Amino acid sequence: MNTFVLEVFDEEGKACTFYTVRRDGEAQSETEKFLAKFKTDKELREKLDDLLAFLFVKIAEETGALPAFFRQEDIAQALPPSKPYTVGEVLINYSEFPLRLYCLRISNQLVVLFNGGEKTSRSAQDGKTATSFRDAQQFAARIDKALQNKDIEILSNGRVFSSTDGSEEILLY
Amino acid sequence: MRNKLLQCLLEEIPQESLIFADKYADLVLRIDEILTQKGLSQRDLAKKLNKYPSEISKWLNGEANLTLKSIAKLEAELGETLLEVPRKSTQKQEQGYIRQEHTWVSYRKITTTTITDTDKLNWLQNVG
Repeated sequence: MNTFVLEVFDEEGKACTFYTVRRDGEAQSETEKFLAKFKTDKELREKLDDLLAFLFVKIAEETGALPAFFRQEDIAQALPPSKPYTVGEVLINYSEFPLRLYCLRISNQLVVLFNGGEKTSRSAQDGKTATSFRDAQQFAARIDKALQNKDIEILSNGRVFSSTDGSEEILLY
Repeated sequence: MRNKLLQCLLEEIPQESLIFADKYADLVLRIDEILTQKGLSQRDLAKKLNKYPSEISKWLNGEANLTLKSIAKLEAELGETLLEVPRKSTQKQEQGYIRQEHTWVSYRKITTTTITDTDKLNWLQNVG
């Protein structure tokens, strides 16, 4: 896994803050890549709008990232089961929703979003989501390790990651 | 701080997506709340509905379409209302606001319990 930066994606909501990851040296974060993939897609733009409204209006402003909204994937097995946070995907449980966005749900107030794709196979490991799924596992495992090693911490308000060495940018190797 | 690309996309979101997200999330939470209140697992629910647990999991975990028919089946078995549709509304304007009254029809399952001698004794004690 390359070095990457853990950075704020959206902290405007009253109930939840979203972070994302950006590979060191790249201009776009993983979640920007996801948005860019579908923003001009005639068939899937409507689904992207549904997903954005769900995440950045309903969850961010009102409910917070409640566990019922997330599906725990096999990806969670990368982490010890005793951890309070889960790794999985944002779940829209409606009409065989075609988009998958992978994430690390830390708590109701804090979520790290990764990349995702169009679900084209029964299994996340196959089809168009395969690369995003594999990358999400690796990003999540690295963030988990950084939390365990106390390279990063979550501030007392539960909504901010902070580097314990005092640097402004959170760079994970 | 909000990502600029996200901000641009959020400004273009149609009203129908906002309504969808609002109602979808409320429905998920309502089902979750009822299952928790009743101490039911998805496996228990499957048994009650005479379905395989995998089918219920598909309903609740996004692999199958949660249709109006499946919502009706869930309401019938759980004995609680999941969706409420206004049947009639009256509307009047009051001091710059529009006031609307709605009525709903809901179905709640009646649970019958067997009265035991212990229950009778408890009631008598309470009366005393």
